[in-house]
Amino acid sequence: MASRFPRGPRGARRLTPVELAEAAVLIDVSLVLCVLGWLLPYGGAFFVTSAVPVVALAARQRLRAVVVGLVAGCALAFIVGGTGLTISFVEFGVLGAFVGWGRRRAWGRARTVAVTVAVVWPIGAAITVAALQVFSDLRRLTFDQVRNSWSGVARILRNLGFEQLAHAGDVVVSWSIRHWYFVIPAVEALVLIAVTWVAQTLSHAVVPRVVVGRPHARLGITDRDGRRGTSTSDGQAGPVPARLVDVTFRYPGEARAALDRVSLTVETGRFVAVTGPNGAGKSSLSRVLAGAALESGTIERPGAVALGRPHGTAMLFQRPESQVLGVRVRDDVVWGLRYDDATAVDVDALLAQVGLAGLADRETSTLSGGELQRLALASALARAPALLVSDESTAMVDTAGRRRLLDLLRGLTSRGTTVVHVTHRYGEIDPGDGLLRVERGRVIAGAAPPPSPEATIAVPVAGPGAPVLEVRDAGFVYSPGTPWEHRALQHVTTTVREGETVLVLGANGSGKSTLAWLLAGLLHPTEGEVLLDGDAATRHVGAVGLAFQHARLQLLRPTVRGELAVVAPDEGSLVRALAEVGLDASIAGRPIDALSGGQQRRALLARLLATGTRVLVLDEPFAGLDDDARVALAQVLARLRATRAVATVVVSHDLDDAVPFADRVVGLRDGRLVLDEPVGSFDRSAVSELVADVRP
Amino acid sequence: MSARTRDVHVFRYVAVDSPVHRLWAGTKLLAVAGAGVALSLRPEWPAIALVGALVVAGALVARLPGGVLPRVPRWFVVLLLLGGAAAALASTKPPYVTVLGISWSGGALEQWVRFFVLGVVLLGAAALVTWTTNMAELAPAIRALLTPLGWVRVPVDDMAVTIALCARCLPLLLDDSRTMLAARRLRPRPYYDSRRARFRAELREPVDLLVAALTVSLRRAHELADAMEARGGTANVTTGRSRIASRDVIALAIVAAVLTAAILVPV
Repeated sequence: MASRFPRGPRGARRLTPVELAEAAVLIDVSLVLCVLGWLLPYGGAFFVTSAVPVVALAARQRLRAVVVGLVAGCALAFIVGGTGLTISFVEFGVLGAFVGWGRRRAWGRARTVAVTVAVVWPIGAAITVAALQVFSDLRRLTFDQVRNSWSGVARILRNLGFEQLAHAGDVVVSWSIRHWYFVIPAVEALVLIAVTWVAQTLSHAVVPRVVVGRPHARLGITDRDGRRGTSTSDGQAGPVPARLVDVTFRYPGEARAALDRVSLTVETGRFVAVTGPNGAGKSSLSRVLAGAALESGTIERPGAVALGRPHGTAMLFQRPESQVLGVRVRDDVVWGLRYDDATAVDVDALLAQVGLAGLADRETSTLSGGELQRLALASALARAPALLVSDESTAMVDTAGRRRLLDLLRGLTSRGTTVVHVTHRYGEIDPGDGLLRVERGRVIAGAAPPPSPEATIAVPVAGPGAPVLEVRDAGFVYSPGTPWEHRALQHVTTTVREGETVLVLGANGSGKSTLAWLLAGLLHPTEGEVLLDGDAATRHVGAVGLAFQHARLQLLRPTVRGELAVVAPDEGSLVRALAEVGLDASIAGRPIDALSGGQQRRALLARLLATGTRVLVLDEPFAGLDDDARVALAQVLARLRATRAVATVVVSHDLDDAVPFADRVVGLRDGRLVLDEPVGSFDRSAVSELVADVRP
Repeated sequence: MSARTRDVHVFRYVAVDSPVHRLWAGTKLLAVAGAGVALSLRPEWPAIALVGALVVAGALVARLPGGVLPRVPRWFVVLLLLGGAAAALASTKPPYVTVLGISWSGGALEQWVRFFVLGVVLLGAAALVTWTTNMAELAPAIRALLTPLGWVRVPVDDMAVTIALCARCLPLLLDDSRTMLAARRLRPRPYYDSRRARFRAELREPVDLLVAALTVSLRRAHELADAMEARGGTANVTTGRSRIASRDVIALAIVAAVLTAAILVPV
């Protein structure tokens, strides 16, 4: 036995971060689908879909990751929904694991179903029979229940004159109950075959379409003891000064090198800004500095990179909510540190240093984007890093938060920490900074950045027209009557007119996203009313074009062409729709996931406009875009205002983005309307205060 | 609809301080598992009453406000009443009760109610844990409970890290799912020439939604993996901080006594 199934060296290895993360996230999706299956009235179908994330996991990762994920999912399911949820999660999870295993081995449908049933059925049936045998009282209660239900049906049948049918049913039911130990497994087999077939078919349609962008270059390989695998990472930490000599770096499977024979030196204690257009190799440079394996060339350092280790290298990334790992702020700061190191960290002092004093026991899911980035900085500082690499960590943060984060980063150099800050905002660079400009894989040291591009703003043809959206004394409360009751809006009154662009400003948690949902009719106001052309907005869901910040969740078809097919069925209208948002027609055939974030947002905008909507509501349309994409989008919106009478509501926490083409600014603070004035007549500093990322 | 989906966080931590909140998470998990076993062994009124009383007592000690209880959807109540009525009307199980000139089976009704109450008590026990336990305490507790499995080379550390990550990501993914359900409502409804075309489109929709959900989630997973590597990997994720206190011993003793009584009490 042992010789037939040798335990390979891979088999015994601990899960890598990628395996852990994929397992956790996909199992979570599966759980969410299970919960939806319980909550929604047409839920049955949802249960089968909950197998699909597990199929994807099993098709992508080692069996170990699947088993660990399923156990973790059970634990969570038990907490969230008790035994019922756990059982449905396990049933479909195990099924998904087998179907995914089949996908991995390129089995056909028949073979997948056969193997799944052959393995799962005997075990499942044995467990059911054993459980019913042990819990005999529960069994009797259940069977009585079945008998009762049947006799009800039989009585109705007899009254309708189907005596023979009722009699046959009587016989079948009583025979089945007498021979339950045989009948139940038989039914289970049939159900299992059907469900496996459906799960296999469904995942066959889904899994091949899931493409997760370009393969990530791992920062380093964690070996069994958690040490870094590459030779430069072992031993005494000493990441700077780093001298790169002819460094070439390539993402797996890509033809073009992301960095091409780069030579440069990162000196100790400096603040180095790395700029350049999207896709030029900025992120690659930061990954190489953090220890990613090179294709050729050398990096000379006094010691190890020591990523994440004390006095080594720390790294910050772009997306705030994706780099926080702890449920509680306090746990996140020391996440990953050795127990001795973790206990030595003064968490409260670190939090105070980054401006999060007193938030140690808060749950991380309640923090704003700027706060999360500062928390990530705190956990980097908990390691007293010699080198801090910030890979566009300011991109998703609002103006005030950005300034604050930059000041903190600059301040670190005075304690001898070297900071390498990747940014696509030229405005973030100080004259005193070291400057590296990356272009098409080559690095130009000290090159001056090009002047910031500016949007040319067209003048509107006519002033605002008739009111389209009216908000009258509206308020909204989430989860009213529960301990989680939360008032998001109160007494908000404002009007959006035809052809007008309104900028809704507010800090995180001010209620601006709730207002966007109300305007689109997705939520019923708790008090007051929201009217679209004089009628309740909730009765016209879809009439207002709402674009969420995360456009990918709204672009569901495989290509841009497919996405627009409903509203632009022929080639001419498709080209026109894309031209309206400044996109080239050549983009139409490209997969959605091959588009940049800015292109995705514009493609969505094209679809919304092609429906002929008169009102657009855009939730944070500029967040995370680089300067070029930002200008392109601003120009599209400005042109819309000039050429079509589309009323546009831009929800933002960034004053700079939308002001150039807005007619009016509406300010929200703590769910109240505190400002509603035409652009040009309001006090800029007061507005800055409004969106400042500071809590009382 | 979406107002209701936004209310999904019914089973969420209630941040008040109470003896139940201060209990070790593992104690509460053991108690719930025990309640499940006891009620499966004896699904009868005395046992249900005892365990139910324990859950209610726990909720009172935990000082949970009444608002934590989820509002039951109307279709569920209707189904419940219909099911009970059907069982009582149809069954021949004695005793009989005559109401409105129809003879109802009291025995069947009793069973129907018992079955339902049993489910509610078990769900209540699980909910009590969710309401009183911070997600952050869960992973260490489960890690501790799984320790014996580690002796037979079960990867308990990986499991503990995964549970912690699952707990961390769940709010993010719930948020995404809310957005996706809303996005689905906002999409234009195309006109179909035939029933067949409509059917095909309806089959396509769940596929599209799943692709988007999986793509977005996997992106997130890879960002999380980056973040983990930036913290030096998972080898040192300390999980051994939970410790049994004397109040846990007392609580476990009370639970064990009640459950034993529930199993042993004669009908």
